[in-house]
Amino acid sequence: MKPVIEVKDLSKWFGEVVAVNNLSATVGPGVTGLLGPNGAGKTTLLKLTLGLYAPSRGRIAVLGGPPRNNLPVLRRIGYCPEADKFYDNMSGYEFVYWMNRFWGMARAAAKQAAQEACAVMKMTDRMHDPIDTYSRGMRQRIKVAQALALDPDVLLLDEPMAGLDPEGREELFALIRRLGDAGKTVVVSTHVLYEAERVTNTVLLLHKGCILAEGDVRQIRDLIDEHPHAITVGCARPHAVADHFIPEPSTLGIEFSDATVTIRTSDPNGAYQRLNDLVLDQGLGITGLTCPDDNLQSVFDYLVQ
Amino acid sequence: MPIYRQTYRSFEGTAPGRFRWLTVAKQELRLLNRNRIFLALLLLGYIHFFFRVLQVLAADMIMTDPHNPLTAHLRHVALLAVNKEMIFDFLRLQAPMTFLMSIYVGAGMICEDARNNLLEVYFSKPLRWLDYVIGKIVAVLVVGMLFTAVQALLLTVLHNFLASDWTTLRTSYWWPLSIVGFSLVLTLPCALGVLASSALSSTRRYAAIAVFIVLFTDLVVGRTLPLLMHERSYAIIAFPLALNRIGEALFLKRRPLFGLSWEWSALYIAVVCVVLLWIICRKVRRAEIAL
Repeated sequence: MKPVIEVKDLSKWFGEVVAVNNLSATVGPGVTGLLGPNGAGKTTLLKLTLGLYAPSRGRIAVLGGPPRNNLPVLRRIGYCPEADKFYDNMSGYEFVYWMNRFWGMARAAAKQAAQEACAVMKMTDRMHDPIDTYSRGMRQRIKVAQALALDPDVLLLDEPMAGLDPEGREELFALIRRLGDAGKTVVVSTHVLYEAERVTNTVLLLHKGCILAEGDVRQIRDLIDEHPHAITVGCARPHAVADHFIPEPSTLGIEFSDATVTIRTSDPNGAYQRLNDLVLDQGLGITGLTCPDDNLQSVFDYLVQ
Repeated sequence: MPIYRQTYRSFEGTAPGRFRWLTVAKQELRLLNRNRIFLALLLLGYIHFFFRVLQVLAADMIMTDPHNPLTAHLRHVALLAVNKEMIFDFLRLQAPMTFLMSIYVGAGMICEDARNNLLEVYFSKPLRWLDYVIGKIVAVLVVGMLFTAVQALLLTVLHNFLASDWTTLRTSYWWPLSIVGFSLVLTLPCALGVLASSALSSTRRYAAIAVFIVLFTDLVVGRTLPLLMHERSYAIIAFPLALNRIGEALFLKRRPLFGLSWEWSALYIAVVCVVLLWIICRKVRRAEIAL
């Protein structure tokens, strides 16, 4: 059971700038979110995975082999770059077609794969128009199409949702999830945490070239014991709810806003049990219960503090 | 950490072909084929060829016809003779057009790929930097050959086709080799120079300007150095003269431009080509690892 992407003590520096710092991680089949703010080293890590960069130190293996100048490995990787500049005098279909040809497809296969990839990305109607007439979202679709056309085992998507309209995003979310369910290894790099949440629970959190955390979002959250867990309760009498939590030693803070109260506690299970008791025993009408900490933004905020 | 239940299958696809560079060259040529300015320039480059065709027709059809009243007049016009000197002159006169076309075609080839971040897309495919470099050079070379070797070979074929006996073939059987050789000598340094400039520049325009500046400086130095040093051999520094010297040697033309042998010109051109190739390879490889 080898991981598809295996990184061991990997470092990459450009002059005095360390982009990736002594990073060790593994990525298996399914969708993995590569998260981090701008400059965290996400794109550098993707380019190391593609063999576009040579590691300054350490090693990286993709599908069991080093990716750099390894043509059999590169044939099984699809890459959607972040930048969206192309030959403007080329149509979207031609771009995908030529990328297929570079990949090694014969002419007929390249044509068919280009048409199918454009259809998957809903670009069939406009695929023969010049790229310079495309909107940013259309360019994004074509970029993803050229990565998908090869039917790769490993798909590296660098900010794939950038510029897409809401409908396009939802379609791409669904597509990425489908590919992950089909056993493909999909790495989605993004700094928008919501996007990663929509496609996967498995994340690699990068910050200043280092891995802050990896694994399931909730598991990561559970590991951060020293941070309070926030529970937001919507009800008509928030002060009544607060009265029951104030005496508890596990309660670390209480905040009020319009018809809601946010309780910060070091004992989330106890807090949920107490809320149950309030509803059942005292008939407290709770209109909403949310856990603002159970998302990547809060996890990330905690980790980078 | 999640438990990986799936593993990857072993590689089952066919190995990438040997001629990956051919796809790069084809892509460039296909794009050029749709460029109207390129097609217009291509036609312009064939005007000279058209007049040379008329010359061949005049020499081989009119001058050999004893009943034609023009024969007596034309026979004394040495300029109309179709011989190795004529082919050499044709290629020599095509050199400026070849140079301009190489600039038009090649100036943006590498810098625009780099500027549009296409190199990372290319190299994410099973494509090595060497395939990329060879493909680009071949694309510019093919365009250069369209203006030199192809046209000169067509003239040679026409000349032999119109000949009444085998004498013409016996005297011109070696021309194709010289034509291809001299065409390569004319086009390869052009292609390498333009692509090196493209690799070093950020835009097509800067690349073209840089090539013109380098060539102009070379010509000025090549003209002034012999005067300053009182030695004609220094004229070899002027690159077009060095190219012509090779052409003269290939077409067995006995007209030494300067005292230096053609071997020195060939060495000079070879060194320049190697330096230009090194620049292209270095820049493309650097782009590969440090985009």
